[in-house]
Amino acid sequence: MKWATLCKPRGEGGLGIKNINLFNKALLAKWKWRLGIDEKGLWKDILESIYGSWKSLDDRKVVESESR
Amino acid sequence: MRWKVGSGNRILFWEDKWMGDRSLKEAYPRLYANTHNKNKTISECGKWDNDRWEWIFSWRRHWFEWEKSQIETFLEEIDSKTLVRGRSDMWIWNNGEDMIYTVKSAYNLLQDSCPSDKTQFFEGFWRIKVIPSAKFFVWRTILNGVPTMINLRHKGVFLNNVSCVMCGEQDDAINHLLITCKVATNIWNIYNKWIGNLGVSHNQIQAHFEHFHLLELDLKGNMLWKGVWIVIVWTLWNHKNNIVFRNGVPDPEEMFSLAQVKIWAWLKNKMKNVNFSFSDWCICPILCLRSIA
Repeated sequence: MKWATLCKPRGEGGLGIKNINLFNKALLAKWKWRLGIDEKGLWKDILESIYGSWKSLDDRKVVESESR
Repeated sequence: MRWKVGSGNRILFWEDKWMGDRSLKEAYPRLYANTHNKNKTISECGKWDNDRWEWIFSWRRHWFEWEKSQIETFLEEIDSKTLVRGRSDMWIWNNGEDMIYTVKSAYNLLQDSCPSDKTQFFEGFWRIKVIPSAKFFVWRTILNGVPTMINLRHKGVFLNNVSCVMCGEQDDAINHLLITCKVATNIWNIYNKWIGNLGVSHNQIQAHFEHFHLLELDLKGNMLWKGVWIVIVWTLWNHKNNIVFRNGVPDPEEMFSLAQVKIWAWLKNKMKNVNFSFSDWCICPILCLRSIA
């Protein structure tokens, strides 16, 4: 049985096991979301000081390399 | 993820995508080339006149006559967005409830973007109340993940003979084993006799399962009835294994009674209101299921 099949939702013939790679991306994107939503936060200041501004974090390549 | 414009304090006018799916520099490259400050935020591109927002642009040169219409559409487009004084710019997420990002909605989106052959077969399948290992077996069967000899040979197991161990006449493909083999046909005939009915016969396992329902039962009753199919098929498979590994002989009558016992015993143990005896179950299964569904 293929792993890709097992990761499908149960209603579609899989076992509903999370595809952890995709799930990680979804979790990471939550930080991008919070970056745009939260008004203040030390974590934001730190990230922005590391990456110049939060806008360069928007660059997909940066996010991808962070996820590994 | 998109921008929802508030006061325009965080969004870059030309660079960011705040008007639809493209940035303004992509939409109006000619205008972009002629602006002085390309890195301005929206709020730096105009000012509040009392409660009215006014755009202020300074261009590097005057416009030619033929460029004027482009400017007009440009101004019209940006005028269609209203800025909100004192409210910060925010993200919106188009795929969740209330435009709010949820990991769940993002995960579903990512997963849907992966190509997969969609099958409706398993909708509701796991809600069927029946012996779990039988259900699991059927799941594997539908995805063609059971070790029939044909499948084993396909995976590189060396086998001289892949014909069905019950009839010896055909290859042991899953549709043959469980439906069209003469032993299987025999079992389905006994089943028809049991419910006093001539069921429509399909020679393909998915269709066979999908058409396995009784008009005499309601939805809930049929969910239990699907379990009967699952157990019959599972028993058949186990019996086939008995023939292969323990020198059993094909005996449709015995297989069918075994399936009947298994279903009855399982219902008896798992459902609260099972008041019928095994002989009731053998004589009139439909009435029995009606009494508990």
